[in-house]
Amino acid sequence: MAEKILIVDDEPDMLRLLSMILKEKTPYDVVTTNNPLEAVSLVQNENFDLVITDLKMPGLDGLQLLEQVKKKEEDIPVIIITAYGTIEAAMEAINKGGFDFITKPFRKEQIIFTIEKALKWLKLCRENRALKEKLKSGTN
Amino acid sequence: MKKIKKIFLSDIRNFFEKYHSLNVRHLKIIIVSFMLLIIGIVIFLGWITYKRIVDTVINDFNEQQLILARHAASQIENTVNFLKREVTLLRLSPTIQYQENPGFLNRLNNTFISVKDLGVYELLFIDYKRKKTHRINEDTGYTQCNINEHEQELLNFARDVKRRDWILIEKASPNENLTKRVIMELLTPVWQISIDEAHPIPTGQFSGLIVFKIDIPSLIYKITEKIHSGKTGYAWVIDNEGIFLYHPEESFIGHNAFEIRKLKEPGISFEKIEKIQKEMILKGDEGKGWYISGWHRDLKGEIKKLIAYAPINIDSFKNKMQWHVAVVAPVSEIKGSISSIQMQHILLQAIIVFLILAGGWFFIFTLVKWSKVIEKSEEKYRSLVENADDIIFMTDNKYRLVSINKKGLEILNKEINQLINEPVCDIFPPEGEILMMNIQHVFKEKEPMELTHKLSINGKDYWFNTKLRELRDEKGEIYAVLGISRDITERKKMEQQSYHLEILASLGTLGACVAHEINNPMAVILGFTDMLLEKTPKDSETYEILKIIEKQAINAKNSVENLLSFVRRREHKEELVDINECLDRVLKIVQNTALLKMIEIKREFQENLPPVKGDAGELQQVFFNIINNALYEMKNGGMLKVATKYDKYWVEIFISDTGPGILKQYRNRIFEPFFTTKEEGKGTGLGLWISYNIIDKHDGIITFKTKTKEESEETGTTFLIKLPAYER
Repeated sequence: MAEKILIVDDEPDMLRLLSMILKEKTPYDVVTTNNPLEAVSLVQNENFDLVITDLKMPGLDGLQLLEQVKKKEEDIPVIIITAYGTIEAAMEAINKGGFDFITKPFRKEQIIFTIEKALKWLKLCRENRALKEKLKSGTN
Repeated sequence: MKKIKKIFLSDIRNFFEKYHSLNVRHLKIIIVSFMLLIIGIVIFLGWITYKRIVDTVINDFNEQQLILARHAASQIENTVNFLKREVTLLRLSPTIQYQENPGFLNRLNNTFISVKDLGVYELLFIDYKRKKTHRINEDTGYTQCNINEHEQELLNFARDVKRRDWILIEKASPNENLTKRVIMELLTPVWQISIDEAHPIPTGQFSGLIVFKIDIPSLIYKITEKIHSGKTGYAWVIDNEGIFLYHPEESFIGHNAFEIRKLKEPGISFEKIEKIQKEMILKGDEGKGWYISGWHRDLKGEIKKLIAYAPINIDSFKNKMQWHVAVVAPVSEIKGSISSIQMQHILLQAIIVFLILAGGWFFIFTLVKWSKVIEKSEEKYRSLVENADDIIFMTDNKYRLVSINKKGLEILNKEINQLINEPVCDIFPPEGEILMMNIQHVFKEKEPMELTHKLSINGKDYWFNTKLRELRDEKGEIYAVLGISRDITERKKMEQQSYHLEILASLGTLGACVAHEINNPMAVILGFTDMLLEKTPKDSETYEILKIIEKQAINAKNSVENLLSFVRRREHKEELVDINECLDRVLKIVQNTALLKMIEIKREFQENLPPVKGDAGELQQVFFNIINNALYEMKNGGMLKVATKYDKYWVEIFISDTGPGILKQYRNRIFEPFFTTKEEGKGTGLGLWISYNIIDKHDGIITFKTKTKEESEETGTTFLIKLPAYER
């Protein structure tokens, strides 16, 4: 089963571009929304393997969405994209548990590479967790 | 006008030194002299007045005395006439003429009673027929006796029919016991000419003689006792021979006036009175004068007396008798009353003079005190004005300079003579007209004004804040405008700089926002272009167009990246940088370009330049930007001069070109982002903005001086970068 990726951006054109890149260049399932509030309920009700979100959005910004995702599952990587690239914003995103930080405009290779890296990291995390569980039950 | 203006303010010091103190001294002398003069005039006038008063009063007094003398003379004449009338009545009485008893005696008695108070001390009827004398007097009453020899003589004289109507007045010898020294006899013959019952026809015979024996002093006394001239003045009477007929000093009566005076006071010269007596009085004149006497009533010594005299004419058939009455009073008595008035007058004058003096002194004292206070205050204000750090000036209503202080002369770099009376608009270029219009406004609207204006002197620009205030005279009319101009050049620079900084800061924020807004669509454009490029055959026109879109979008992206590079605050290194080395590195890069453009490079580096703490890369970028601009501007060759200098706290870097200079309208904008004078596509307009920010980050200052061909023959721009020197 292909990994499921949620893309959140208030700009529908950007959403279309990202979903086009992912759909054409990766095998993953893509869900998009330009409503950050809808994104929260999607995160809560569905299981995503990766969330890509814009930093600045009306209503709810990328960092708040990041928190919601981390509440749901600690391991799900969140990639933050922003046009307003400052070190402070990036640092904050990473400190809050963001996986990586991509500034607009980006090259498609850059985003694909980061997604691959994130999913690989998720996979490792989950395997790690399973092994730990196994080890735990084995010792028990 | 010119002279008056010249002495104002800056020259006012000289004016005061020259005239002010002197004035006060002069004024003192003038006032004192003036006061003395006034006092002198007052005293002189007082003396003249006193003299006049004395003269007038004496004259008036003597005139009064003359009136008294005339009055006395007429009274005496009247009395004598009355006696003559009485004797006539008696003569015409038939009772007397015919000696009809008992009426005869009664008639004699009645007449005696009516005349005895007028000096008649004895009445006689000398009977011719019976040779008897009927005598009536106070002491013995009526007596009868035989006639004596004298009386016989009188009868013989009187019985002449020619003398029938005569009333003879004759001086007689003193009586036997000398109690009456001056005697006068009034005689008239009695003829039987009247009729009565007993004598219906008059007999016409000689009956006798009526004699009134008159004591002249008593007669005169009755009149003169009432005469009081002044307090103690009195009257005396002399006859035509100079014998005193009456004098309050009884011992004089009957004596010759000339002799008795000398007899009484031999030490005194009676020249004056004797002259008057001889030349005026005894000649029957009426008049007045003065003389020196030896006494007055009980007073002794030389006494000046006023005298007024008038003749007394007594008619007699035999001869005309003339007496002379004189009224005298001592001058001192009149003067005494005048001097008491005069004393009051002098006292009043003294008080007035004293008041004038005291007032004058008070005035001078106050004036001197005030002048000192004013002098001090003026000194204070003058030093305030002269040492003020502002230009303080004054203009008249024709907007010409009246005065200006030291600071003004310093800044305008002129002598006072070159400025006074010159129009304000010429004195404060280039905005003198604006200043003048404001001064005009103050004169017209009578309200203070404030303006900020530029002042250019010898190529140096200043900014001044000028406050204009009206100066009013005592009538409240504006006669001048006072201007106080504060040099705000530094403040203006700071303001401009901070305004500039604010603009830059806001542009930074704006830039960040713009970057965000641009990056979003750029991401979409580039993303889709990239996607479409993959799907488009490389030899198609669409592919070519997509490539153009991609290129332009990338250009836009680069611009934004550049812009954001400072907003993002890229990591800033802190190391010790050798500025000379940095500059050398940059010059090495540009030297080929310079060679191609025929630009000479001149290095003037100071050796042992202290290092600067900062980011060498960033600083090199700054130098590169500026040098690159300089080379770009020198299109027909020129010289690039790069110099370094160590100045106390600063490492200074000068980069000069001989290009056309920066146009005035661009000078305030060159550090703005996206501002460029280069042709389109040759510059982003970010070079100097970035440089400015880098230098700012290094706590340095970047400024420039530039001259275009309108301003100077030698054009060009010099950038000065000041960086804090690192103290080892």
